[in-house]
Parts: sequence; C-alpha cells; structure tokens
Amino acid sequence: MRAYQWEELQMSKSKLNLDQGVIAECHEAAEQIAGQVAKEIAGKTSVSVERTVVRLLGVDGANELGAPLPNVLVDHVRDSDGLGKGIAYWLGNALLDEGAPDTPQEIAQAIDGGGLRMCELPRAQEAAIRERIKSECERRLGEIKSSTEDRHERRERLGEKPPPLRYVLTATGNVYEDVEHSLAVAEAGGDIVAVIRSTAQSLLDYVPYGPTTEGYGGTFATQANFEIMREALDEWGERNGRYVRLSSFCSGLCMPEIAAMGAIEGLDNMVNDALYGILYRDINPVRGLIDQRVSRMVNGWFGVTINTGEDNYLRTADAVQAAPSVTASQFINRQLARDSGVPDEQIALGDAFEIDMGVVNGLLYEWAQAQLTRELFSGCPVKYMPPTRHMDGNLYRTHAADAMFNLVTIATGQGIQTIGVPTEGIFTPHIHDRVIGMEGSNYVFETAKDLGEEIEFKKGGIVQTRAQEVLKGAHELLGQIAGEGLFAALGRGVFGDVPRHAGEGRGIEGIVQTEPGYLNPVSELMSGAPAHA
Amino acid sequence: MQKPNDAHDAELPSNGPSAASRRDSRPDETAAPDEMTAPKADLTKVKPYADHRGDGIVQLSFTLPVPYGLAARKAAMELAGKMGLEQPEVVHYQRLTDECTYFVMFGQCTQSVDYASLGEEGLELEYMSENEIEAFAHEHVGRAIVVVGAATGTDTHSVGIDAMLNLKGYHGHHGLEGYKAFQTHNLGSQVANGELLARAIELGADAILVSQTVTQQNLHVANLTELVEMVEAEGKRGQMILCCGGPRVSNELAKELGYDAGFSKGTYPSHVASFIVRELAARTQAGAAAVG
Amino acid sequence: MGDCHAQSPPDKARTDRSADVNGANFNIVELIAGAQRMALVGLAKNTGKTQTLTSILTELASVGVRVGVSSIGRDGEEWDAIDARIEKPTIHLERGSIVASTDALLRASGVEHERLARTRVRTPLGEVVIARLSESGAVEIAGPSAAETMRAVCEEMLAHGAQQVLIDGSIDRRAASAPSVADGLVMATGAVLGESVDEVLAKTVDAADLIRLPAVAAAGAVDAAGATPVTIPRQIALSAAPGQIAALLRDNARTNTFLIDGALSERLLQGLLAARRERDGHELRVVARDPTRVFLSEHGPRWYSRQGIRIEVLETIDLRAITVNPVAPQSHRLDSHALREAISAAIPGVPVIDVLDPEYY
Repeated sequence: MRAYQWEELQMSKSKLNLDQGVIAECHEAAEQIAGQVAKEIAGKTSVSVERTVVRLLGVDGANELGAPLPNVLVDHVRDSDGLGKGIAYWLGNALLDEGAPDTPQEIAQAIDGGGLRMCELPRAQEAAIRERIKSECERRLGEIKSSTEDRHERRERLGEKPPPLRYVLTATGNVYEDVEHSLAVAEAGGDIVAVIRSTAQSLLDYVPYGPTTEGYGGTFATQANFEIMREALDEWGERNGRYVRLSSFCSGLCMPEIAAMGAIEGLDNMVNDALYGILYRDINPVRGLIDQRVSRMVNGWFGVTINTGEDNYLRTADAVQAAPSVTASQFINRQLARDSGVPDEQIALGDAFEIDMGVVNGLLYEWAQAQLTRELFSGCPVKYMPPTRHMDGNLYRTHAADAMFNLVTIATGQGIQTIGVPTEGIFTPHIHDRVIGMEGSNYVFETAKDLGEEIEFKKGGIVQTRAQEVLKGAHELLGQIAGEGLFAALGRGVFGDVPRHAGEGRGIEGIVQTEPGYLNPVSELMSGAPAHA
Repeated sequence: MQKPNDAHDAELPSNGPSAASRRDSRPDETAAPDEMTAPKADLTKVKPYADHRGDGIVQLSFTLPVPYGLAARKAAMELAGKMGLEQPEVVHYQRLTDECTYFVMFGQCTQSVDYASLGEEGLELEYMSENEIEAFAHEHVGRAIVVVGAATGTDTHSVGIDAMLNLKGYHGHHGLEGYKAFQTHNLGSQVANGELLARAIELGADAILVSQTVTQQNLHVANLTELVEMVEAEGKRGQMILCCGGPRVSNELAKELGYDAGFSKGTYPSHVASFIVRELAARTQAGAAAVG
Repeated sequence: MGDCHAQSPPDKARTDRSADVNGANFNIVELIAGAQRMALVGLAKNTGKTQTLTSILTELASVGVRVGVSSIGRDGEEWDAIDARIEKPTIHLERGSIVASTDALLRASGVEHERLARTRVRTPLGEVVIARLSESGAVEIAGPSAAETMRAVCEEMLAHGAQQVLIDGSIDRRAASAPSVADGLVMATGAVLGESVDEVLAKTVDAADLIRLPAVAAAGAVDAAGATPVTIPRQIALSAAPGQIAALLRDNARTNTFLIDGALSERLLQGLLAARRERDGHELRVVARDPTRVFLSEHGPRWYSRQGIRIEVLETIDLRAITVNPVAPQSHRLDSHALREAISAAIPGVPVIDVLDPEYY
C-alpha cells in the first residue's frame, strides 16, 4: 500500500459528451467572479486573520478568564486603533524594543498582565520592523512546514488505501470518547476521521483553549483536541501499518485560525467552504470571504486537502432543482481556492446524493451529477456525501439508500466518500452504526470495483441529458453571477435559497480596514512561494 | 394530544389507526358468529407480532463494551433475559474494536400492554383539513394570525421549521405560509432566544414555533426552557401561544417545559395549524389565559 | 371567597442561620417558616427536589399544618419524560391537603378528593382544578404552565384554607421562584452536576449567586456618577446586536447604570463587554427586576463582576435553604458531609441540608 495519490481522469474517457466550450466559459466566469471578490476584499483584514498571524508565531494559551491569548493580543491593538497596520507590525516593533519581551508568546502574556502597552512603545523604522517580523515568520513557518513534511513522509511510509477514501464522522462532545470512537472507525477500515464540532462553535469569534469534554452535537475544535486525536491515530497507524487521516472544520468566524491550528497539529484534511458560513451561519459576507481567503492560503501552503460544502445547498433546496447551483458553486469554490494558492489535488469539491427517494429515475440523475462533477474537475479529488435530508428513523430504508449511494460513488470514481450510516436521520451515529455503514461501503466498493470502467452511457439518454442540462444551468447561473457580482447573487438567495446581504451578519464588526504600510508577512510568504504539491 | 402514525398519511385512516378507529376496534358484536374471520387480537394484552399473533417477537441490536468472544455472547443473552425476553437468540455478533462487540438479537417479549384502556390524555384534537382551518380561522379569529418560527440557540437544523412554515411545506402539505389565515415569519436557524422574542414582540406574534433537533446532553431542554422564561420575564406569556417541535420533543416534554404544545416526527403543518387556530379561538373566548 | 381560615404557618423565630450550617441542627420546616408560598427549584433533574418536597410534606403533616401543593411541570410520574431509566417518587399527601392539578391526573390517582374550584387554566394535559384530598394517597401533580398564573392558583389554595403552599418547579423552571410568585426558595443541588465535589460546588455557587443577586443600592435613583439610570429599550436588550449596544453606550456616555424591564440575556452582557471601548474603563451596573429575569448560562455574576459589570435587582429572592442529593442515579455518589461543608463555606448564611442523611434532624 502506498500513499494515496490522486490521478487525473483521462478526458478521452468522458462518458457524458459535454460541450467543452461551455466548460471553458464556466471557468472564465468563475475567474471573473473570483476577481470581483478579490477586489471587494482588498484593503481589508479581519480580527481572525490577524489572530492567525499571532498563532502561527507561536502564541497560544488562555488567561484566567478563559480568553485565548491571541484574542487578548489582537483586541489590545484593536482597542488602541492600531490594527490597520497589522498585528505583525506591532509585534515586530515590540520584538525590536529592548524593554519588551523577546518572543511573541511572552509579549502576549505581558499584555494580558497589563504590564505592556504595545502601541505606546517607541516606534522603530518600518524597514527594520518588517525585516524582524518577516524573519520571525519565516522561521516559524519553516518549523511548521518541516513537521508537515514529516507527516507526509509518514503517510507515504504507512500507506493508505486507494480512493474512494472513507471519511467518517464522530461527535461525542468529549474528546477522549471521540478517541475511542475514532479507533473503532480505523479498525473498521475508515480512512479519514473527522470530529464534528460543537454546534455553538461557528458563532464564536475565538477558538477555545485546551482539551474539552463537553460540547453539544459535537466536540469543540481546539488545538489540544487536535493533538490528542492526532496522537491516538498515529499510534494506531504505526501499530496496524496503515495511515489514518484526521480532518476538522474551518467554518465559522475563525476559519484561518483553525486552518493554522490544523497545520501545526498535523491534520490532513479540513472542511473549508467559501460560502458556507455566510449562508448557513449568517456570517457577514465580506468577513467570510476575507477569512476564507487566508484560511485557504494556510491550508494550501501546508499541504492540507480542503473539502468544500456544496452538499449543504441540497439540504435547504430541492436536489433536482438545485443541481446547477451546486455545479456553479464548485466552479467558484475551486477558483477562489486556486487564487489562494491551493492546487487542484488539494481541492476536494463537494457533492451529495440528496434526491428525494420517491423521484422516478432519481438514481440516474444522481449518477449523472456525480459523473459530471468528476469530469468537470478531473484534477480534484471530489468528496461525495450521503443522503441525509430525506432520511429518518426508518433505518433499513436509509441503509438501502446508502447502498445506492455507495454504488454511484465507486462507479464514478469519487475521491472521498463520507460514509452513510443507517441512523443518519435521527442522531449522531452510535459506535456500531459507523461500522455498519462502512461494511456497506466495503461490500459495494469491492463487488462493483470496475463497474465505472465498463460503463458507457447511451448517447442522448437520460444520464447524458441530465448532465448536460445541469451544466447548462450552471453556465447560465455563473454568467449571471459574473454579471451582477457574487454579493448581489448572495442577496438574491441564489445558493440554497438563502439570501444574505453584504451589510449584515455576524462578525461584521471584526472587519478592519488596512492602512498604508499594513504588514502581514504570513500572507506574503504564502502567496509568494509556490504552493506545496 | 394525538400523534399521527409515523410514515402513514394521517388523512388516510385506512393505512393506520387513527383516534377514531382505535375507539371502535372492540369485537364487533353484531357480526354473525359463524362468519370466517381472521383471529382478532386481544386488545387488553397486546404483544409484538412477527409471525403469529401473540408471538411477542422483537428484534434488537446493541453494542456491549466487552471483547468479542463466547463470554460476550453469554453476556448479551443474559442481558436480553433481564430485558424480559424469552428464548433470546444471538443471530449475529461481531467485533467492533478490541473492547466492543456488536449484537443482533431476537427474542420473545413477555410483557404486554392493555391497549384498550389507554385513554387520550390531554386535549382531544381532531385535525382539520386546510380548508377547514381556513374557515375556522375566518369565523373564530377573523384576522391574520401572526406566527413566528425558528430553530433556536446553536441549532442549525432548519428542515423542521421550514417544513412547517414554508410554502413548500412537507410531502406535498403546505406550510403555514400557504394559508390565508396566517402571516408567517420564518427566522431560520441558529436564532438566539432573545432575538426570536424581540422579533416576535415586534411583529405582534400570536404564536411562536420553536424547532429543536440537537438533543445531546439535553441541550434542547435548556434552550427551550430559557425561551419560556424569557417570555415570562417580558410579561408576554399570556399573549403568546408557545409551541415547540423536533424529533425528540413530545407533548409531555413540552408541557413540562411550559409550552402549550409539542410536536414530534410525523407532524404535518395542518396539525400545527389546527392547534394554533383552536387555541387562539379558545383564548379569545376565555378572555385571557389568567385565572380571574 | 368564603371564610379565610388561613393562619400563617408556624412562625417561629428563625434560628440564627450563621451558626453551625452543616445542617445537622436545621429542620427544613423551620427554615421555610413564615413564607406562605415556598418554591422549590432543582438545578437539574435528580437533585432530590422531589425528595425534599416529600420531607417537607411529612414534617408539615406531623405538626398539623394544612398544605397546598402545585407544580410547574409534572412531578410524581412513574416515568421520566426525558430519561426513561430513572424513576421518580410519587408525592404522598395527607388527607386535607389541597392540590392544584389536572382533573385527569386526580382521577387517575384513585385518591378520593373534593373538587373545590376550577381555574380555567388550560394545559396540554387538561384544565387545572383545585381539590382537597379526602383521604391520604399519592398523586401526580401537574399545575399551571405559566408563572403568571401560578400566583393566582396559590392564592386560591390559600383562600381555601391552605396554611402554606409549596410550589414544585420542574427542570429549570426558575420562574416559579420569582418574588411575585413565591415568598421564599429552597434550592436543590446534587451529584448529578459533577463527578467531584469541586465541580458540583462551582455550579451550585453560580446558581446561588444568580438567585441571590443583590438589591440595587438604595441610592439607585442616581448613580455614583450623578447620572440618572437609563432603561435599555426592549428591542436592543433582546436582540443584543453589537452595533446597537455600542451606540447605546456611546449615546449615554455619562451613565453607568442601566435598567432592564424584561429579560436580561447573557448576549446583552456579552455585547456590553464587547463594547468595552465605549465604557472607557468604567464599571457598569445592570439592574433587572428580579433574579428570575436574569439569564446566565456561560458565566456567573462573579465573572461578569470581575469584567466590570455588576448585576443587581430591584427585588431579591429569599433563599431559605439549599438541599443536597449526594447520589447521581446510575452514576456515582459523593460524600454528603464534604459536599455540604464545601457549599456552606462558599455560600455563607444559607443552611445546607441533606434530608436523607442520618445526621439530618
């Protein structure tokens, strides 16, 4: 077994007879849209972006009131109206100051203690500050980068199964119990473990500190929790000769911070969607897009694979109708990620098997969509998600639907599959539900292993027609969005039937206008050099 | 209050027992004694039915935190016995991890239920059809009934509230938005209790619908309770009908928490609508909800 | 409403609470003496609230006090609405006791009773009626769902001859303990709140702090800065939009005392904290009507106080006693004495009792 390498699907093997000109135009529209977004967020940073710089410089911990030190530090500068120059500026200045402590962590502690007023220190020359903080960043990033390289070596050495990789969720609220559940997942053949986050977390403008044993609907994503899970999975991996990936969620008001924490602790994957927080957590669109940009830079730079969240649209809008919006979103998500330096092989665009079970030929439409996604984005390890919306307490019905889902997964060569579990519609899976789900996947993946290679679709038949129609719909939608701009489209409720407006939403007060001389060496270093392949 | 039968359309009583047919299913005294009929169940001693009436067969599955092996199997059999199952059989068991084993079992349930004596607790509620609701509201309320709904707290699941409120509704049944009788406002999900209440007061809500799906550590209980208490703190309890719903919300739970009604899985928008119009009409008649 | 036979309940001089508060010398009935309407509230399910109620009823019966009992939410059921594993005791009442419960439940109890009045208070389980038991027996008690109506129901029971009325709160229904509804409160805590004495203590202290929020200083009409207190408009208080809160502080820069008529939510307090810059380092005072209108779940009043926001009330709650259940059903058990001592030390002036402890009087 060697490490999982994504291989490009040969375009000559396209089964859907898609119009290449239309596809090219979709890419162009996506580029236009991404360009508009870039313009809109230029000249702005956010409190979470700045806290990310701080974290990457090694600041961690929380004070006695439970406030994380990165927040204390950034809020301190913000309260003095200094954040427009970037936290890096002030840190660089403080590091140069002889009276101030010598490391960012100690500076943060001094500020928390009240003994240091960072913005009142005498100012050094800008060039000197830049030099100092840039070299600090380089050193720190280099350290983290080398540990990610160790991780990739370990992955190579222990090896993984070939795609589709099985992605399994656990969520007990207690990280120590999550460890138990995740080991069960590994035992049953799971390839990627993801711990669902506590429902409250996406609304917090800070990342909690330390291991946690309480959470609702999930476990808090904290650096300590990441470390605990990572260690447990590494240990299992060494003992059993197979690498198990760890994933978490960047969503919420702290996207780039979580990306940084994940990189530091050796996570392999992260759910990271450009629009999810905006649409489903009512995060202010400008804030969300600022944060997603930097979070993806961090993910990309450190070789983390991002999973986007198009499945969510199909929970609030009908899957048959909304398919074009899913495809359109994939184009946009991919382009925004590429603009942040993430290469295709690290962009696991999302799709889901969510057509209502009663729809005649629903399976054919699902197949068409899955194949379409795979062909449009052949360089991306697409992530396919199971039926959830129409599932309920009828466990057997859910299990049957999951078998169909597994069939489409293997036959269309999906890169990652979130496994379906029978209790999907009721509560977070019990320890045996995941095993049952995985056994279902194992069975179908083996028994239908080469089905995909054997299939050609009837020319002009249901599957081809559906795929072409969805593509056409996506093309139209992308054209519209490129014409009016992403923000206007969001205001119209184009994605998931949820309208969002640029002047509203959570976290809006966390946006900061940058000033001339704004300093962020992390962004500079990450966008300057080529991304990790 | 009556819960509609899962997976069966509440408006097609022939698919499942409705309140009416339950009351009527005593042995038919007028049937000719020599007519060939299928054996009728003894409704005073109802047991599960798999193959033959009265066989009591149930199927269950569970995990025990013990290593796979004969001892584990024995433990499962003993546990089934303690659950009151006779002739238990482990039809399948497998190792999940070093420390956990999963079982699928069958057994015969020795308990039975006196179904015939179960009363209808709480309000006798006949569900009205959409047209009946519109007519009832027109006659007894005479103005648009303002309904404000949301999935509250950190709960992100809006599927339930959307099914009840949005025009598209659920399985072809319109949400309250589709009724002339109601003016609906769906605030979506992850709405803080304070926000919901602020909007409800601002909009002059007659009824608030709260949806809660996440129940880990009974978060839904704490959150639902907080809303009721806030409504009371604002002195608005008498002016608003409070309903809650979710897959793990029962009418009993709703009552315990201080709501006027609770709706569980299988609820259609018309059930919620029926309740609200009747309740509002009754309150309007009673003058006020307070005593004296 | 007919002849009022009501005498006030035994109004013995209250024993000096500050002496020997490990509970050995306190009888709960003495502690609640003088409060015509006593509320019992549990910090969680299975904190022994029902057991406490039972003990109170037994002792009141033994000194011949005629009681009235009702509840917000159900109690005395055979099954637990949330967790079917755990059984709850039924409420045994003596002949002559007055109850406010639903007709159906009274009938189902099989205990003979005389219906005294209808209340026209409607609940999903039927209408609440007031009855007097003609014989002793166990009854399930489901009273009004709204605190507003509970007071009226209590008045009815007192008018029909009850000398002391006990109000049983369900789960976290603090509304029953509001000063407008009850004259005194007994709080039940227990091992269900944590695996260690320290954990239980922390949560108990937070809850007690919330119950015992201090009365706003008498000179509250004008605060220390000399500015008149400002009432926060309901919309702003409930929606707690950060921008609006910041603007409110800016527009009232000289005021440090803010009044809330209705619910004081934690989000509002967090909004005030976030708008730090507008406060310019001043300590703020936020005044609610009474403690039941203050909603805190993440942090207690002491935490907010450390952050520079003091929470005060216009009307306080009289916490008469804290009862402790050292057993967490199907889980673990803590040392009752240790738990009581820890709580007494942290919450001065409130007797702490374990009604099932052999030491209990």
